[in-house]
This record gives sequence, structure tokens and C-alpha cells, in this order.
Amino acid sequence: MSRIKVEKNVYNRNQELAEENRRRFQQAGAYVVNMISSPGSGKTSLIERLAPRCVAAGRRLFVIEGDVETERDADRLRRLGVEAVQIQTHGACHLDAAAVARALAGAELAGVDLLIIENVGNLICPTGFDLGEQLRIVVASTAEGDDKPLKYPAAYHKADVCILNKMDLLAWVDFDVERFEAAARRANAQLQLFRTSCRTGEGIDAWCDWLMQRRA
Amino acid sequence: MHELSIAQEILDIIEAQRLRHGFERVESVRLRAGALSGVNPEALEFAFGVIREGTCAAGADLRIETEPMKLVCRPCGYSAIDCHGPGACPRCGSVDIQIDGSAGVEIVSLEVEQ
Repeated sequence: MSRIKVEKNVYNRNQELAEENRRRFQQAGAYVVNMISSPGSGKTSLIERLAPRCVAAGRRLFVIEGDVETERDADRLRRLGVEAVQIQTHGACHLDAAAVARALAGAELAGVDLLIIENVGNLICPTGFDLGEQLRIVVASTAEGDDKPLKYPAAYHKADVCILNKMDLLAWVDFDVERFEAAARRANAQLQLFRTSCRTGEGIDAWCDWLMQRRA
Repeated sequence: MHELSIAQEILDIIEAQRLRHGFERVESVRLRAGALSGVNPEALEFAFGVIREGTCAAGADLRIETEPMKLVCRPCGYSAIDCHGPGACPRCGSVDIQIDGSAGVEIVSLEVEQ
């Protein structure tokens, strides 16, 4: 029996494909965002809130929706006039760089300013897969536990932005915003934090303005 | 669930190594998974056990070492290697603790039968 030294990272192939995606996005001039969260935290609602602001600012928005089944989320956005493609993973728990490349194979990206990839609702699996994005957002909501960043540190550790959504529910839930944000910062001291409510509009301008400026 | 994609990638890397080194059979695979890699060792062993059938790694043993995360207390600088996630700093009691850890999954080496 003999030993062969391998020293290869299992995520390497995804990383190579992600770099290919990144080159394509940069050539097209598109700023790409990967949104990660548990199911039901409001990722699609946040995009719905962003869409009219993109129109008003003359920015072209394109969305990739990742779900296990159905076109429901892409349809929600198409009803608002947003260009959207749906990836149905049929059981897979995350998007990878290859799935994003396949979804965009026939898409014309020239002229797209902002490309948002809404990942499959899951705080574990998507965190290991770079899609070629420039910005990674983790979304949480006050309907979840304020200890989420402690339980899923990798999701927070690898994000650039953390949005706490459903701020309108605070009066009805036992959620300590300070404790949540301290835990998020513990996982990642550089995290940019936002608090939003898609229902009341609280914090939406601050978040959207920040994102638009990043893009510019 | 993503352990299945990782297991497939491991098999692909093993196959590439087989073409390069020309071995017959893999006895064991040594794998190093960072604490922030999102890999559950039991789930990965299960996934690998299912898809290795009919390949040169059919009988291979997967040996997974987990690289623990490092916790550093921001106020006092105390650091510790930890597998249980952050609590309060044992030295100063602060909960302002930074988490550092690897997110990679690396195949370190293969034991093979020529």
C-alpha cells in the first residue's frame, strides 16, 4: 500500500467556475449579489421593494431565483416587470456556480446593472459555494431566534451584509435586536448591518440607497 | 444534502488521481474539513458510502478530521480552540468574541493499492 499526497480543496472546481462567472459579470458591467437566508425571512420581498427603486434610478435589475420547486418567486417578480429566471433545484439544497452559469447561458447580461441571485432558503449548504458574486448578503427576520448567528456562524462569517427583516413584528416576538447584532458581529466584525421591514418600508431606503451606491 | 455534491467532487478528484498515478484501489481517504465548511462528517460518510459503489474507491474508508474554529476575545485577547461555538470568555467574561475558522474541505492524501 502506498500514500499519495493530494492536498486538493474539494470546493476548487466550484471556485474555478465561480471565477468564470465573475469574469462574465464584470465584462457585462453587472454588480452581482448572492442572498442567503433561511426560508421565509423575506428575500423575495426585499427584491420586490428594491425593484421600483431600480426603475426610478434607471438601473436594470435581473434576478435569478433559486428554489427547490416552482416558479412562484420568479413569477412574483415578473409581475413587477423584473427580468427573472428561475432555477428549480428539485431537491438540491443550494445553488452552485455551474447552476448559475447554466441559468444564464442564454441571457443577455450587457446592460444589466444589478444581478441578484436569491439562493435556496437554507443557512448551511449555500455558504460553501461561491457563485461569482461581488457581495454576499445574509438575511434574518425577527420571527426567527436572535441566536441564529451563533448557531450558523459560517453563514454570517462569509457575508458582507446582514439584513434583519420584519422589524414590524418586534412587538409580538421575543427577539432582542441588540443581542442578534452582537452575535452577528461576533461571527464577522466587518458585517454591514441593516434593519428593515418590507411591510412598513422601515429601513428600505437606507438599504437600497447603500446598495445602489455600491453599484455606482 | 450538499454532502452529496462534496462526495461526488471527492470521487472526481480520486478518479483524476487514479488516471495520473495508475493505482487499482483506494484503501482510505484522508480529509480535512474546516469548522466553517458546513460539512457534517456523518452525512458526508453516508453520501460517500452510497456513491463510491462501482468505483476504485468502493471499499475506501473516509477519515475526516475537523479543524476546529479559533475564538478570540476582542477585549482581552484571550484565544482558544473550540468545537462548541462561542460562549463567554473564560478570562474576562466578555461575550465580544471573534470567530475564525477554515471554510475549506481538503483531500489531504490517499492510501492506495497499486
